[in-house]
Amino acid sequence: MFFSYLKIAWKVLLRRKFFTLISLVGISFTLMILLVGVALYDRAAGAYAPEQHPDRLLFGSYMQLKMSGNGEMKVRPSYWLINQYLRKLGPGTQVGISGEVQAVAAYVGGRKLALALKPTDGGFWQVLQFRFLAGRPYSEQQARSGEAVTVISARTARQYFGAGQPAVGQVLEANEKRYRVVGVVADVPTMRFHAYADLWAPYEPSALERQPEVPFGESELLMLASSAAAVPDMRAALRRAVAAIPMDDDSRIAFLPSTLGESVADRLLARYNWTSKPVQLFQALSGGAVALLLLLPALNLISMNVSRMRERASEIGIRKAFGATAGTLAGQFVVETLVLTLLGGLLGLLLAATLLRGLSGSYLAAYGDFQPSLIVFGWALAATLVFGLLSGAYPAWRMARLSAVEALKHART
Amino acid sequence: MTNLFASATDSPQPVAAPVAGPGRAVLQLTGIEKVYQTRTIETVALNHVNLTIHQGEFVSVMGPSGCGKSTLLSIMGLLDEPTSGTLELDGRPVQSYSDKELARLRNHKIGFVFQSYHLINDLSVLDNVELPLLYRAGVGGKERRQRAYAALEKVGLGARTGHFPSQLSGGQRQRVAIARALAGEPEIILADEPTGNLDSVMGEEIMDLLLTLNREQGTTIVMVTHDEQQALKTQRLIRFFDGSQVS
Repeated sequence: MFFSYLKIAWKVLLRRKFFTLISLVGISFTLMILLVGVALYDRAAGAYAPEQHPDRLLFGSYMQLKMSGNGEMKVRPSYWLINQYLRKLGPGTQVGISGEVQAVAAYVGGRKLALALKPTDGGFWQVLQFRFLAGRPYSEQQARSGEAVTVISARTARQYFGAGQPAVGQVLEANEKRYRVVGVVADVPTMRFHAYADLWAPYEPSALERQPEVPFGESELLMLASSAAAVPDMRAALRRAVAAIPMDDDSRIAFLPSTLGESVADRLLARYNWTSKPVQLFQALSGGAVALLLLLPALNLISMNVSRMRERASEIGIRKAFGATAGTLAGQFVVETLVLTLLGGLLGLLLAATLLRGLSGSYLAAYGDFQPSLIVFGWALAATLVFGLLSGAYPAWRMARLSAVEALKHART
Repeated sequence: MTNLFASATDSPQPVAAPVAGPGRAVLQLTGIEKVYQTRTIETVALNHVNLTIHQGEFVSVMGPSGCGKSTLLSIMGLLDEPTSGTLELDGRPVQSYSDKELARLRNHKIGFVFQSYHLINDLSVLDNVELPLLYRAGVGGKERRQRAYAALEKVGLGARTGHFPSQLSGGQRQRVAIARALAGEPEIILADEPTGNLDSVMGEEIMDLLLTLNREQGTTIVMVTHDEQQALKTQRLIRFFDGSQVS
């Protein structure tokens, strides 16, 4: 009987091609948007190199600063502040410092190569686990001494030195400064903004960043706990270290350490100043968007199923006359809805895979090797099937309760 | 109306089909009333109908449009409930049956043939004929197909199994509908103007098919018709007028 249900479901889908198309487009686009959205978020905040252990990481990108005579500001910390007071957060905690990414230019055979340079200390390489393809990171010693060394991405190595050419030990000149390449790492997607660059070089803080008593600047504190369970201790250690910073009576610093996921949400929303709680807003907006996305195709399915009732009155009457119970008929119509939903789901997966493949090479997501998450697909499909079931159940129930006599009386076959 | 009433009394009694004497009562209608009630109007479709259909009988029901013939057939076919009165199937009143049990009885005991065929256009001829067996527990796909083929062979459409209803003539469609009614091997076939949409030649073919079924397989048939000549070929002719049986 199930095979027969499938057969009639297929015929019904083919019979009303326009409605089928609309429904498939609705379902597949919903799933596609969900899958692409989650894949992008996952690539930005998931457990991938260099942030392979996001549950152990905290980022001190911003702090609330109140200085005497001024109001409260949300600012980035200075190199001086981190280096002076926050470098030691207890045993087992790795601490790194990085600065803002700078645009630099290198020239290859007269061709300009626009590169992103991220200044870091030696601890940066201990906090984040880059995948080294050749060489090694520069040491804290090299970073402190301001040695002109650099770690470059595989793409930079390819573009500057040529594909397959050794880069380690070679010299790369950027912004008229000659760096000796000590390591080559796998490309980092632009979305991994704590780590992303084309080349990394020892941090040479500006005069302002080094100026004592100036706590705000353009640096970032990166912290890695020995385990996820040790993260609260790491937070407490940070609070203690911040509390130990000598301040005027009416000045105050409060660090706002965020997890990788929180920092992504913060990055996505904070710049628009919509809210002082961007993480919560991001979660609320995401949840609302997912619910709305799933609800729209469900409403579409309900509407389509109800409109199909009239045209199928004859079939309902015939099936009832020959022994179909209301339950059997309801089952048949639900199967039809589920077939449509499943088809839409598979189409959505295909569309998402295609779109993500296209995005992988784009500027927006440079180096982002995106794959649609099959786990997310499973959940999204399950959610759509549940909506499909619900949207099919009500019309099915109404159709199945249709009087056979009435259905046959008004039908013209 | 009065002419029809008159013709009921004047018309010759059908004699064409052989009568082997009344069998057991398969359908027994006692004091059946069907009233359609709206807020302002009450329409009596059937008025105290008492009727017995015996096993193996071929009964035709005639009467003007709106006299309650189709309502009678719907009640006999367990598709509709009488407002009052008792319907017994094989000696058991059906009023106490649940919807599920009624569906099972329809599936096992009754086959329908409709004036406008009522085939499912999306299904092939074979799939249409399989329909009653689809809802029968214990009948597998292979057996379904075999029985549907056999039923189609009986109506002379064994070569059209893969066709769709829209590819057939009216007469062929009605033969498919008869094959569908036969596939479940029901005891009773209820035919509502089975030749009403067909020309006289096709109508004769269908009528011959029903007579053969009745004669050779002993299938009980109740047929609503407007065609006096065809009605006369059946064993018994019942006439209805304004919801009441007049002969």
